[in-house]
Amino acid sequence: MVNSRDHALVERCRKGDRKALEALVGEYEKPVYNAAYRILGNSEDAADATQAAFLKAFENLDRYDPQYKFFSWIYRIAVNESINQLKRIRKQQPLDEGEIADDPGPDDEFEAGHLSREIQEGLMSLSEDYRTVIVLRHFSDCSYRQISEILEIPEKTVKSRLYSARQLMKDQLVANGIFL
Amino acid sequence: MVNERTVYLINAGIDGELGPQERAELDTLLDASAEARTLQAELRRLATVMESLPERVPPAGLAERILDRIRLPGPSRHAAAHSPRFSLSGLFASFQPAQAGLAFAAGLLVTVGFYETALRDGGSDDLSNMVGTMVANSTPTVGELQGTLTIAQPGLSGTVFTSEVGDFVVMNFDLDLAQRSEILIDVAAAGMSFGGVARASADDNSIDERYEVSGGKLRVVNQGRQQFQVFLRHAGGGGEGAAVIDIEVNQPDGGVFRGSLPIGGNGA
Repeated sequence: MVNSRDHALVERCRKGDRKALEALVGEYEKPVYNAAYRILGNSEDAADATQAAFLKAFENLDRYDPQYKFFSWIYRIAVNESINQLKRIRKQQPLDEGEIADDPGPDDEFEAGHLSREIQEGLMSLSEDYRTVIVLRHFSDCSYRQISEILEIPEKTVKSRLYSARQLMKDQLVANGIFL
Repeated sequence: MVNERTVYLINAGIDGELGPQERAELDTLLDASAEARTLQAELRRLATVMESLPERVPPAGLAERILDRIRLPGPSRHAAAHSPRFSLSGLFASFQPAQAGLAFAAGLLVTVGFYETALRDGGSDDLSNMVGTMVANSTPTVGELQGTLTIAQPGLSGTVFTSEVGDFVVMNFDLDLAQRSEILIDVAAAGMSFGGVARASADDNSIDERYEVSGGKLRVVNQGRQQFQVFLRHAGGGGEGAAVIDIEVNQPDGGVFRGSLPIGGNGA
């Protein structure tokens, strides 16, 4: 099902309406940033990926296909930007510096020492393919179909990746004595 | 050992994707296997914990930075094409809010954003369509040449030259950065103030470019072929006196380039 409000806003953006742009950025800034954060593991890179995703989306607004949700489109770009960012970071950092190194934000104070840090570390230990489906399913609340649309992969592949990823994460948390 | 079918049903159940028949099948399998029940409980707990984590709050100002950098088609472009021509002093006046904020105060950090893009085909000192603190796709403004620096070292090559255009000293960068590198321009030490940046062209990698002013230094972080201009003015408001401006390029592999260029006066 398409979101007619989003489509109307996109159409207004195409005509240069900045109010419509503000509405779309306002609507999707937080969910896109959260998905990027869970994929990248730190605030600064997530902010960069979020910014890059929005810039790319609006620079290429002519390519947006209205038969899909704007939500799926911006998420697809954000996921790709996040993965590209990860690759660039890996090129620049020796392996032993690749661990999570986040600046403390408001949430960190709440999360410090809690399960969330273990969850984020578990996520970061997964491959990008696995991490992405977990993030879209459990942090972005996407259905199999939406994940399939965002990642442009069959639903069958979504399920297979998601089930394997969850199992790996669960095994790691149990092995670390964190979980259950 | 829990079989593949059971694992499938447990996972689909956690995601709420089971039909009535599959739900019944899963219940039967769970009744018959303690191991399957444990697996279901662990996976369900994992899902619950992940979904109960608080949402992250984006950094303050992120939406504003995004909005500042997005250029929409239609009326915006049309308006740019018909905007009145700016004199250099008029252009500089448009930088005042950013400049006041920069003020070269230690620790102050300002990210310079895109305001408007406009292709122009005017003369060499024509800065029409340059709006805000950064212009993308700008035709380089050359002016009177003051000095040139040629750089050739592993992973970093190109030229930087300084020129004078009206009240501005313009630093013209044409660099090829093999890796994402940091360029530091010591604006304050040269007795200059920052006026703005115009980007002539850049690789696709430039989507992640950064232009920041902190502690009197302009910091550019980018990768690939970079052609951009930095506009400076004498901090005291005058254009007199010759000085040099220091440039440093730091590469992630530890490579460092340091050089200086003449500014002001008649140059070198």
